[in-house]
Amino acid sequence: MRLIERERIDVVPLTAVLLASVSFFGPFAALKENRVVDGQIIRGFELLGGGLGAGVLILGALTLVVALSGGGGKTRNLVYSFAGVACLWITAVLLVRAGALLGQAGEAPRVSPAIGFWGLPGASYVLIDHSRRQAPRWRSLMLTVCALVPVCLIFSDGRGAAISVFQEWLERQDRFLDELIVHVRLFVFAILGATVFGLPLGIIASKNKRIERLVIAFVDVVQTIPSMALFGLLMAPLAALSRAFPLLRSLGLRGIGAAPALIALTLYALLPIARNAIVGIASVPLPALEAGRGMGMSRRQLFWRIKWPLALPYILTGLKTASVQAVGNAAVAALIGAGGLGIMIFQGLGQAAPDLILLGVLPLILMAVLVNRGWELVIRRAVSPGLLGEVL
Amino acid sequence: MTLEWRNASKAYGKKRAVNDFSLEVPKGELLVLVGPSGCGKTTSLRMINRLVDPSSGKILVDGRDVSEIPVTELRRHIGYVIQQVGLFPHMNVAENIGAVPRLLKWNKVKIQARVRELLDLVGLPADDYSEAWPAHLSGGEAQRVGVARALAADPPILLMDEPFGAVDPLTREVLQREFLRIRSTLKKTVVFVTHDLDEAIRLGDCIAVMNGGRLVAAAAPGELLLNANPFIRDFTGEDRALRRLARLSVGDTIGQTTPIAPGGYGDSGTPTGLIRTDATLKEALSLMLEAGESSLNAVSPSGRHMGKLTMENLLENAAGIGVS
Ligand SMILES: Nc1ncnc2c1ncn2[C@@H]1O[C@H](COP(=O)(O)OP(=O)(O)O)[C@@H](O)[C@H]1O
Ligand SMILES: [Mg+2]
Repeated sequence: MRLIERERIDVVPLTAVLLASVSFFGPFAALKENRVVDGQIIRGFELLGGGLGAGVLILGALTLVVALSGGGGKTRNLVYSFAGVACLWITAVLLVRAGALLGQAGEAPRVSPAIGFWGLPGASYVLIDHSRRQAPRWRSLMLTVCALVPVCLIFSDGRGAAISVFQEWLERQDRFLDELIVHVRLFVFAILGATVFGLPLGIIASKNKRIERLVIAFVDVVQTIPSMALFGLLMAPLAALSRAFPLLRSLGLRGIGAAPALIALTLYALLPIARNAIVGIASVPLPALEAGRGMGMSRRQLFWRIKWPLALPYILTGLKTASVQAVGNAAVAALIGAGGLGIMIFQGLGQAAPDLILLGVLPLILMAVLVNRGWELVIRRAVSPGLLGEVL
Repeated sequence: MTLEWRNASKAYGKKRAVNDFSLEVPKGELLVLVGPSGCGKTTSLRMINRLVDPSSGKILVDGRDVSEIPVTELRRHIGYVIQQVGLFPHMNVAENIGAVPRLLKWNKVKIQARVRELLDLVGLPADDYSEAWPAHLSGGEAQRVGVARALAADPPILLMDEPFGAVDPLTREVLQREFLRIRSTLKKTVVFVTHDLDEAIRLGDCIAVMNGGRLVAAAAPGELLLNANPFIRDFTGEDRALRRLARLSVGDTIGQTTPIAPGGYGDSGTPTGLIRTDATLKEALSLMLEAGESSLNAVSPSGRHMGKLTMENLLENAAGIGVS
């Protein structure tokens, strides 16, 4: 036990190496003649061949050794970054080679991703993210560029066209863009709405225990209703409302479509936002408040100069959680006719076409990751460095 | 500025936290409020900056009833230091110290200069500490910043509620000594709350002993230790005579009782032990006991013979004869 502690085995990159090996030796993709047939499985190491394959193995072994032994932090990170970038490049090379193997037969021949196709970029993300933690800003930027260049190259010169998801995309480019915009709009407005209601709700609740219990009880109950059920629950009353008041109807309020989706998403986002505001304001140390009051701050000054900045890390974390959740929840909105990326997913499910499902899921994941990163950036910017040590 | 409680009381429900408290603090004096926990010290203190409003009676600052002064205005001109320090964790040290000047809308340059001056005053090098975050300060450093923050706008009145209560004894002594130094340069009216009698005796011009919300006695430290009131005798403890000796220095005593006679030593023979004039009488007693002597030679810190200190001197001082 003590030995392990002293040597400090790096568990995260170890996992990444494991994932990369499974991906490299397992099935990388299936070559198919069209959307539904099973196709022929190909493996990563079969595609690479002698020289490159050996290089990959050596790099993998090196990473493994470094992760297992306690070397200097800098060299370690360098190896991890390099291995991470390499993983992504390998994926690109494998993809191109798989595309070249593809016959011209069939109506829409394609390379359908299997575990290896996902595992290698996954390992790459883990390695780069891990090595980035202590790296200076410019290096983390360079890493990202190094990792993204092969992806862009492949798609820009058309060699990525063989990938099944890409083919699905080619078939419905315009529709895809529309749904993407609808999706973004849904979740952005839901978060805006939830912020406008949730923040003041949380702030008011933190002034009074009774209101706090009420608010918490309400948002908790909303959260326990499954999203699909909530959409369903909202349909009936909203339909009734729009029938009773033509004005509302002309404003777009109906039992199906954007209105109930937006309302449901907003209600969902309320919990993390309101609750974190309450927790944040409760976290403000009493002596700081006492000192502020004692030095002659007015109520308003006390709020804006002390309570708000001290609660901010919690509030922004709440917004982050709510946003990431809303990106996912907005997919369900397609069920009640609100559109969004959910359309592709549910169509794909209906047609038993995994490639189409992926066309909905992949941008969804990307969006969630970007939103998460974006908020983390905002938190780093907006929160006083005096507080970052505890919160992040 | 003078300060006065006039028949001030504070009731929380049926409980009287402070009961008919009357006391005056002359301008520039340091009053220590001392007493057992829960006796109403903090409540009395917070009446001054109106963090507590008295149920009856009033508080006067320079003869003005504080309830007639706008509350934020009043507080911005009274320094306030609390035991938990209460630094703002999201502001660095300079921003913390500049908090009151910012409330008073001083310009940036003036605030910056003032912050440096104060950091210097409390013994923290400005270059090392201005940008430090409160989370990274030790208890003693944090409390220095707390004192600097309270002094920032140069308030004529300073309120301190057990300011050194949360630091270790060694640091506490350093902070007490520095506080005495700072106070001698800035003549402010100070009210200092503590439950530590030694601290009260060390720092106070006047000590007010409270019990159960009432003022039991208020007197200069030397007199207080002679007070015959049973509560005070109990509070000061059986070693109060030693506490008295601890307050007085050898130099003061021989100046008072024995004219400096560089020639002879009188008839009690030549003492062999030496004691520095800046030592306390308590230390002198200890030395005498240790050496088995009834007198010591007093020497100045530079080594000059200043006179002789005898056991009689100690007995007189311990009993409070001929002392203010
Ligand atoms: N806000 C309050 N509500 C109710 N009781 C209080 C409050 N503040 C103080 N007390 C009570 O008043 C008494 C005196 O308190 P305090 O002035 O803080 O004492 P000290 O500072 O001498 O320890 C204590 O018994 C305390 O419990
Ligand atoms: Mg107290």
